[in-house]
Amino acid sequence: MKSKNKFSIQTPIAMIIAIVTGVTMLATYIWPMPGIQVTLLNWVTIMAAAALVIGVFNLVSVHGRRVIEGKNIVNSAALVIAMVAAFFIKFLDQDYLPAEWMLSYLIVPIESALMGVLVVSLAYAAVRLISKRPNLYSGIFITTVLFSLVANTALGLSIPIIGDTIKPFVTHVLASAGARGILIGVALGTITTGLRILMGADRPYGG
Amino acid sequence: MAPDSDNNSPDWLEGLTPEEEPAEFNPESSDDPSWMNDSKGSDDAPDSSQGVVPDWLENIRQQEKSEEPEQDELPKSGSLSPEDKKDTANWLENIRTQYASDTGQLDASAIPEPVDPPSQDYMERVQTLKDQEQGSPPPAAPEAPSPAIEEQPSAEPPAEDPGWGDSPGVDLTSSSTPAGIWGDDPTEEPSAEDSSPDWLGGLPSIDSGELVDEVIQPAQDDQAQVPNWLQGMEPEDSADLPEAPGLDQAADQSPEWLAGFGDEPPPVPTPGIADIPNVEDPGLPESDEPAETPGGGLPNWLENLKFSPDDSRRHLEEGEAFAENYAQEDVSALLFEPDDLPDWLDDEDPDAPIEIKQPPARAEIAPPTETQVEDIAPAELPSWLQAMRPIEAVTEPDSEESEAPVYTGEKEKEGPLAGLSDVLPAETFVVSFSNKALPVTGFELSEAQQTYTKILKTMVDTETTSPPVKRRKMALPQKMLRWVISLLMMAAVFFGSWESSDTFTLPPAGIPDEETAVYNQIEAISPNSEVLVAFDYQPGFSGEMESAAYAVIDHLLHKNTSLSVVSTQPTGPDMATRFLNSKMSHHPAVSGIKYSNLGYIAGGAAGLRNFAANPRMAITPLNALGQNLWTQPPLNAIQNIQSYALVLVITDDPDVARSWVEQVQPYLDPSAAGTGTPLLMVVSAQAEPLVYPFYQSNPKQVSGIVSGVVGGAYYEVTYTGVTGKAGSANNYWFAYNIAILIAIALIGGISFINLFGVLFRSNKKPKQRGSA
Amino acid sequence: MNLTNLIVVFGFVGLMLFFFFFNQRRPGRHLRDIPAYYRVGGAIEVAVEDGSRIHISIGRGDVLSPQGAAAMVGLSMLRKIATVASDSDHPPLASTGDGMLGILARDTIYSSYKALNLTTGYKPNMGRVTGLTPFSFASGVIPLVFDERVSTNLMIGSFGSEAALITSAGERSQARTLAATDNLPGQAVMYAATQDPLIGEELYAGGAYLDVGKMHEASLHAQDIVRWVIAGAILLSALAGILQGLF
Repeated sequence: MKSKNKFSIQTPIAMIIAIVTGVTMLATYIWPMPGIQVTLLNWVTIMAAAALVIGVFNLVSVHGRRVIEGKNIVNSAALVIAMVAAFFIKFLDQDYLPAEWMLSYLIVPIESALMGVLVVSLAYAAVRLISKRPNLYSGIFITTVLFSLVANTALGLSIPIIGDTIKPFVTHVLASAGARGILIGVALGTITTGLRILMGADRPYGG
Repeated sequence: MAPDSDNNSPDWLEGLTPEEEPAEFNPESSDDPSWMNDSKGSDDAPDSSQGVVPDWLENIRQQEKSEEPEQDELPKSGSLSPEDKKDTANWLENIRTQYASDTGQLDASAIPEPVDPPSQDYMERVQTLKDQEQGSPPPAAPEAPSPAIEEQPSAEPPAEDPGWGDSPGVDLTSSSTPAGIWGDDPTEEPSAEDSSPDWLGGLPSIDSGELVDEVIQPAQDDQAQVPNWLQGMEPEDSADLPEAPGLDQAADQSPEWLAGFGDEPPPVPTPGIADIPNVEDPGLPESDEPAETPGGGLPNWLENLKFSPDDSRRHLEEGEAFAENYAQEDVSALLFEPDDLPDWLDDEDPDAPIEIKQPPARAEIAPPTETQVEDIAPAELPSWLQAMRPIEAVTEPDSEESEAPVYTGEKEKEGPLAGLSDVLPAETFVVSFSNKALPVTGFELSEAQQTYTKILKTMVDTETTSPPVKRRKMALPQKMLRWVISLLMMAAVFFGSWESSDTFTLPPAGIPDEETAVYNQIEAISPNSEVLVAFDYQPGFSGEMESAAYAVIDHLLHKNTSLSVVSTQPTGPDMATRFLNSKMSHHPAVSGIKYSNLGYIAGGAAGLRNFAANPRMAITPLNALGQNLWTQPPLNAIQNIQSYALVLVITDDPDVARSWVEQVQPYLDPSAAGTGTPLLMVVSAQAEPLVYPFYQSNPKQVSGIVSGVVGGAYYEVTYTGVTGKAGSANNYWFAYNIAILIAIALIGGISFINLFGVLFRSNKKPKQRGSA
Repeated sequence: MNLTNLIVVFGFVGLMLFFFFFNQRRPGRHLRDIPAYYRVGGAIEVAVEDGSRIHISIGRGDVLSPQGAAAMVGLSMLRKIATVASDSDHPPLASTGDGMLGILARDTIYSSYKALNLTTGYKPNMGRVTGLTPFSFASGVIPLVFDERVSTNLMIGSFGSEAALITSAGERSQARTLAATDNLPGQAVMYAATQDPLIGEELYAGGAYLDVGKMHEASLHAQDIVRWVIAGAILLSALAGILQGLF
């Protein structure tokens, strides 16, 4: 049914809570108030842990619904079963051995395999870059990639100029300086984003 | 409306903006009935959706509109030139005149000249209703003030029924009203049985006497003989509506046709004017604006057509008076039907006088046959459809065409517009009639209306069900390239792991300063010190991170330190336990004695700061016996984070490393003089450029860095000099180098090939242009 | 009292408010061209028109960390896109790699539906937590890209190098991908792996380019002013250091 009244009382209350909490937390950084800051951080930590659990439940609910609806049953069912099994193994077994077995023989190999896929994907993306975007920046990008790879091998490290002069210069000067510049921009964006929330201009809480 | 989700300026700034903007939230007046609230609600949604259309989207739409062929653009009222309006009025009036003469209602002497066009009246009525909805008083009729609709005798036939096209502003006593065309004979006495609702009375009677009786009869019978489409227009909650008081008294006071112009709106869910979509061309599939009908996929006028016929039928079965129902919904019907007209049909210039060009004599037009008259259901024929009736429907094939209006273009041969010329072409898939439309009279037009509705429904359905998106497949060469890269990389790694070789050796003089600093810091701490180690890496990075950290952890345990393990990653604590139990099991400290797993720190950077400020409060670790580890040795000596002799962070993520520096390091070195607890890092190679500036700063925020497999191998070289053992980084060193060389060959080689390909193509194009 | 923090905060607030009011008085939008955002606008339009789906991945940035700012930008764009495309045949989907972000994503989508009076069309699984670690998050997004008729992938948030898995899936399904992250390794990966990469603070300009709100544009101008101030200060300090070394 259509909502007859689109105004929700939750919105201003949520906004007030968000702004007051944010301003209070910000104030503790300007005028040190350790007691209030620690208390707020404790609350935040507890809520973050709760949100993690909610995320797990969301994961289960999405895949459980897919199983019920018959969509991609195998993968979703495997996920739900594995999650429930891991939950009981972790909490019922104090010896840790089954959990360690699960970690060593399931999680780490699977994620390492994904890392291998990532390597292939990145190599593929690199070789296609020139044909997709044939410009100067792509050339510089590929050249830098190749140089960094060479410089991290024993062969590159053995070459006097590359190993002890150019590689440190590229890594510690060029790359670090570029990264710093980008991070300054990112930090400015972070500040303005936070201030927009404190001013109520951004309301990621459904307002 | 929710507080400005579109503008996203804070509420407190709204009042400060130089331009006044509409209030974001208008609490609906408690005076408004619920049906008006519903109507308003549906009004808001298109506005909100419209209001959030970005400029780029608006630009695209405008550009698309400008690029559309002209035949897709339907004329609007505002765009008509006076000549066009006049022409439109003329041909419409010609049709009406033709219709009147066809139905035998035309008396040449009764034809007024000029006549107020009915569309003007209709618009005034709609405007009146709109005013009522908006709470403003309707324009008062100069001579006959409109009584409230509740006071109208719904069961009474109109004494002077000028038809639905008339308005209060019209001089009711004027004899110029074409009674034969737009209403009953004003001199005719209202029948006592004529209890048709207002809007039915307003419909142009095809045969003034007989057909009206046919319409009224079902109402008198009070049976479910109502046509389905009329039942479908019954509002769901009409049974709940209060009966209009004083109907009988009002019947004596005012004619029924004034019922629609009362001061108060009828208590039926009447769609507001703004609810009526501006259907410029119902035949074209351009109703791709579902966002403007936020209540669902169907526009309001189509929703009216599917108004719960079952409910209406149920009401009839419960004995409700049929006439009352229609008296209550007359406004809905009025609003529904005319607005279904395309604008280009409705855009008569109200001020333009209607010129009737030589209407055919009544004797020249053959009257409809008896069977036709019997088959029709006249009340179901809206006047706008009557006005559109084809000439062939009512004229004999052998009638003199010279009497008919002159058409200049090609005539439509099928559909409801059959017989009309100069009709804008509709898209074929929309107007795809299965059966050729027969020349019809009034009742058959009802079927055409239903067909029309079905077509429109089909059109809307096609809008809501999109064809499945075809998944495009990757080109074969790209797939093959992926496979080639995968196979070569796997072959390199397998070969490197299988074959051990001393081909690649580290240069002995190449140990970076930041790694030497780590070694020195660990050497500097006293034995049996407490060291905090953060295992903040993902399982996928375990290969690189464990290789890099192996020698460092081994060095710490060799110094007989007591480790406190913590992590800001959910999998971190288990990764730490796995690493220590599998890789460091040769150390007696790992065998359950001298390391404590504090667990997971939730809350990201905030949680990390909380931990740094007060570790005991942030985490409450328990041992297998349920005892708090902070109260047990060796952690009972830790009061705050500075109690640790050293903090080591193992991470693949530069953001995590930055969080440790920003949130924890100030607590480690409160004086910022570089004299506090040292913070060391083992990072992935991808994080080194970001962490290195913290090492370069003065005083150092990070006291030492081991970076990636190369850094781990270097540290193992340094540390092996002490213990005489090789670590995992050196074990993987050969495979690592082989794989990197293969990657260099692949990326470099194929990139050069692509580069030459691009250069070749770019050189080829100018030559082709030159030769052309 | 930490005076530096105070000056930074109030300086930014003042600049944002100044540009907020200043922009009200001058017509048009005064932003430099970032073609990727224009292409995104077109891609959204095409997705709505052809009945395919837009997938917005907000990443795994912890809301309680600095990476949460990138996630907030993703949520702003999610709100905008959900408002535009909620009534399409295949409404937008959002994926996250963090529990709290998952809650916020669902709330954002729901509020868009509510603003449009389409709450009956809202489904909770329109905002999904696909995994709680980077690789599990990415591997959870991959089938979503393949199975849900996604034609446009928007990755706006905090992503690491695992973003390559998602962009690779998008490329294999021939979906247009726009990616922006605050994570530097992630940016390096996205530069090579996507058609429309956004570098650095371009991520935070998304709200201004997609007309999320006037304050977004104002904050972007404030950022530009402060950036020039910082750049000038760095140059001056470097010159001072050089001169101090020389003399």
